[in-house]
Amino acid sequence: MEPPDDELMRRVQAGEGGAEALLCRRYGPRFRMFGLRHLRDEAAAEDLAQQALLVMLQAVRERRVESLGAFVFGVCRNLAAAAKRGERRTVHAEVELPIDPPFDAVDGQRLAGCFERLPRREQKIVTMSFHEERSVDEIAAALKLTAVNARVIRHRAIARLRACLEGA
Amino acid sequence: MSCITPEELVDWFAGDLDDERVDRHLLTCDRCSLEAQRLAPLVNALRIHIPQSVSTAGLQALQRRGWRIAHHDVPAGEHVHAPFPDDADLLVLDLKPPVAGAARVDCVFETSAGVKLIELPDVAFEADTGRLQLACQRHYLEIYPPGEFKVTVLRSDGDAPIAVAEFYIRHT
Repeated sequence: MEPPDDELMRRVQAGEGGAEALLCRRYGPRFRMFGLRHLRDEAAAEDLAQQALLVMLQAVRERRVESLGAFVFGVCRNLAAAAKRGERRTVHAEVELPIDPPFDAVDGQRLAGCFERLPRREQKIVTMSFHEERSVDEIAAALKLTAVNARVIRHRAIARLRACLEGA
Repeated sequence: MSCITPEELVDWFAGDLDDERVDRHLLTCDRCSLEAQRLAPLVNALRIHIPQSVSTAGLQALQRRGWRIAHHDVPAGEHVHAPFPDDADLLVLDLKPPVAGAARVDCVFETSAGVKLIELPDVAFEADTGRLQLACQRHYLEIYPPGEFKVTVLRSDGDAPIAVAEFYIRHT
């Protein structure tokens, strides 16, 4: 059982070895995921994760954080907004941040094989959503579907792809 | 806030669920953040999964992510050499077959000896102009034998497909 955030923050502030690493392992992948959603690019997501970890650690050490959840949300939101405006902040890491390696990459050829097995309409919706970054309303209008129907089809396609990639 | 459903998670990654409460929840809920982290690699892979016929919207999305895209015009009926530029991540072959207004467009790739390489059914094309963009990735050079190949474009208007243009491309 991992310690809750409040306890981890106290341990960081007490200078306990390993507490910062635990905090980074907990939040690093979450920050990266937030970056992937909002910046839609792996390298940009990695930058956001590194920057957010630095800001979080500094604030925890200086006892400026009351609620870690609210604090990291504000940090991630601001960093994502800055990245979208084209601002790049330089990361000055004093130490190597113990962030886990990036997500395991999906094998491109395997994905292509699974994708080919999808019904054509599901292929189109997935491509328009994730590759072309179109909204579900745009997709529905283009394919003469309701938005609800387009969402259901997209979810079904993602479930099929996951099952195929996992060898089910 | 209660936990995010699998459907909502897909909507969130697709950008169709824009809600700060969901953002905050996914950063702080162990269970939901873990589920989102499981889905993230697939979403990321789908963003860069490039279909062999690409739309202008898809190319613009790749450019926003920093991809360097080279274009090569390929006139119908002519033999064109389209080398993959060293400084490009993607080579787009720009075709303009007479398919404006078609209900559906298919492509067939063959070697110069007439061996069928691949069939692309129901490809993306611009309905108003007929523009069709084929995406070549660098690793295709390892998959397809070097040399010239022919692309036959077929249009359908609710009936049987008809071949309307041929393109000859030498890739190196």
